[in-house]
Amino acid sequence: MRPPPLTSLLFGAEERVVNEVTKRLRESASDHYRQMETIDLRPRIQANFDAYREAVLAEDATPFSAYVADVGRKRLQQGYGLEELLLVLDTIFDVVWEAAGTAWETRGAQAFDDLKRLAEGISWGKDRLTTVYEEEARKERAALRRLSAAFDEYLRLRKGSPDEGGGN
Amino acid sequence: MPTTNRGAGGAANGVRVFVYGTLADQFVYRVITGERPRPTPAVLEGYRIVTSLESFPYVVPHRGSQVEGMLVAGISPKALAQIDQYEGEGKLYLRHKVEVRTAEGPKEALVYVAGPELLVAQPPTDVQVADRLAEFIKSRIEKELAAGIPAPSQLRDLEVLAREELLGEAVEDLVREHFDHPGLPALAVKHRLEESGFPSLKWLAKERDAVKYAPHYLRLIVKTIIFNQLEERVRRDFRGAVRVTDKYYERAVSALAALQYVADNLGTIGEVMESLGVAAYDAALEYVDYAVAAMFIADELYGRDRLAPYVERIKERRACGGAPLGYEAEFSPLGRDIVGAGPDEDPKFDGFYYFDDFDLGGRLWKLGGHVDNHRFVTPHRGRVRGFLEFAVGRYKILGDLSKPVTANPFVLSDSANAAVVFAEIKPHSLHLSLQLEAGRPPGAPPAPQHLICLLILGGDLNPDEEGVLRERRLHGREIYNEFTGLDFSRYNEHRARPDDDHPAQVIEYEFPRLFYEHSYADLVIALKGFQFATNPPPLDLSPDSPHLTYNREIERELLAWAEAPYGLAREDIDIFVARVEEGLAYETRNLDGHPPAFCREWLDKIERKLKSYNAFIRGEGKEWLIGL
Repeated sequence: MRPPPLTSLLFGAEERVVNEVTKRLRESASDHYRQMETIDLRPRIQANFDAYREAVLAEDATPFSAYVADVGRKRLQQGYGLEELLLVLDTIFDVVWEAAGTAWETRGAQAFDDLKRLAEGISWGKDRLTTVYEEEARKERAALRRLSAAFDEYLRLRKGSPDEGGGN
Repeated sequence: MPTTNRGAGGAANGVRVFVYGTLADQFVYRVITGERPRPTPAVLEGYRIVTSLESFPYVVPHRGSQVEGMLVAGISPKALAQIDQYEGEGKLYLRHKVEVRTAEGPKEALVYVAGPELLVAQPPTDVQVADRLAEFIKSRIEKELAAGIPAPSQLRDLEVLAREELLGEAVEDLVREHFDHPGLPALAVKHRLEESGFPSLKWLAKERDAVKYAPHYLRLIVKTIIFNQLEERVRRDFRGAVRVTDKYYERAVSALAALQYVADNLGTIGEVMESLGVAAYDAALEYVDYAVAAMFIADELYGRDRLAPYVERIKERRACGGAPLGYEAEFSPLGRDIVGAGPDEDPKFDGFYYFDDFDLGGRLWKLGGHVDNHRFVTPHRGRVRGFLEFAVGRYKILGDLSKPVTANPFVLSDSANAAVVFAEIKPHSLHLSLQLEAGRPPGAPPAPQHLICLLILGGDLNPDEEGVLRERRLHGREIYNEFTGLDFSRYNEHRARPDDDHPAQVIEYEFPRLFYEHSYADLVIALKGFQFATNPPPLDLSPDSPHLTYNREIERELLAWAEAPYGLAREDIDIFVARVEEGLAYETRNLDGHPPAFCREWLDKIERKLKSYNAFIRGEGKEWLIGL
């Protein structure tokens, strides 16, 4: 029995999608992705695509949500902007869509349903990523305010201390 | 019965102390007191010694038992105070007055018995005598640092810590010297600290040209201080897990964990710096203020549970071979054009021209940070433009003292990788060094095809500006000396101490390209196997080279290949892989190297990579190096 078209697409076009997404990100406006070598960026895209594919085929957002949440937290700390991270998901969707467009031009209504599932999968990821990223960023801002207050207090005390300066 | 009289020991000139544990070691005693003890055997009756792997030895009262030890007489009040400090008197140990049996009859003496911390809390299981000694010496230095601060001040503790950070390299030197020459006088400590001096930013007021570069230098300074602070805490909190044997750079593992953690938090660090107002140069702030800001950020970032996964991951990737390894990583926003660059060509650091002025040597000492313009290195050699170079394990740039980083290819690869992310400066080149076996004679020079295999694994095979595939390190003459030719590899000597008469012989491979977020494990493993198989000499192109004619041929072949990379014959790859296998087996057999299964796994990876290159050259590969 032949596998359903969506499964067939997501497995059959895997290498093409992962390579193309890697290439586009390396040529994108993202400083972080532009700097990375193919050999280093590709495994990341592969992992992202694997999680996305699993979510789409199982129609279950859970593993993909967990994956993007984990990556979102890590990349925030590393200094990636939310836009850069959303760009990865958008690019995956673009490339998968293009691959689907070529493979499915004769399939009509079923193709439309499959594309909808692909879009839903990306939406789950983007929604979760945005929520987690913004939540973490909010926590960071609270810590920043605390630190700023402590440092201001230090500067106030030091400027009043007899040993101001410190240089020789 | 013993008494708790802590002020007497019963000798006319000084007191006597009965020693039985770490204090009975004459070296330890000398480090602590600076005095040479003349101990005589003695027995403490009515006590039992408790020794276990989980703690330091201590004595507890026990009827019918006795402890054999030594009696040290004539201890001065000053030396006694030092011993008290070392023994954590009142906490770790309690000083009691007892009577001991000697050849000359019973004598009154002091003895350190188990204190509450030792009996109840139990110190961490992985604290060694050397750790306690280092902490003891550091606490003495801290006292000297604190002495210069007007007291009392709400900032006193913070200032002591900031001073310790800013004089970190001098403090480390003093600890080392104290181990080598016990009894470093307080005056000498004071003098050394004063001599080192605290860095300042006042000079920027006069050097307006430097101001535009200040934000980049300050970011590097702040994140390096954060790294230094975290590394110190990792060493303290994960002592056993990050400890390495004396043969290797003692901070190799702790520095890796801290470097990876900082690299993973650069975004956060940048935001906090902005928020504290230390992301830019502010003439109202001094160097110490930037240091304090960095220490605040380090405090906020540090958590034992946050660093634990980093330490754990390093432990999990344990793959120690038998060959000591080291590396140097070069960075410059200009790449190779930094050599010979003039003012303002490098828009961020001006070629690290102000490296000494910003006291970057004093910050980056744990990473062996210095400027290399391929003629000489700074710090303290004046202003030069060149690459920022990290030489982890090179703990004294001046005097060139170093230890290998590791015998674990993953630690080496991860360390270089973390350094690239941490530096945030365009990575340029990686020099890998491999310690050679003492007394093993060099073999025959290598075949050019084998060096090409190494270049495929670790060079820079990428399209040039016209889109033509090249090996860019060679083709761009990045490792080319106008007098002798290709700088592919060379011998070097590494000394761990200034008086080391038997420096380690190493071979340094200079061809690898340093990439952003990359793994070098396959290259390192291939290099080891290649080297151990026949111990080939470096590609020596100097006029007195014994293989000059042959080496010139190799050079021609490599440069021709770099200009137009061609596929390798199947048998060349097979021979190279077999050679690597042979070398790894040699390392396993003779140097306690990697287990055979590990070698097999990596040989497969190396072979696949070489074949993937060939497929790509033949037009069969979809994209170079994809899918490995």
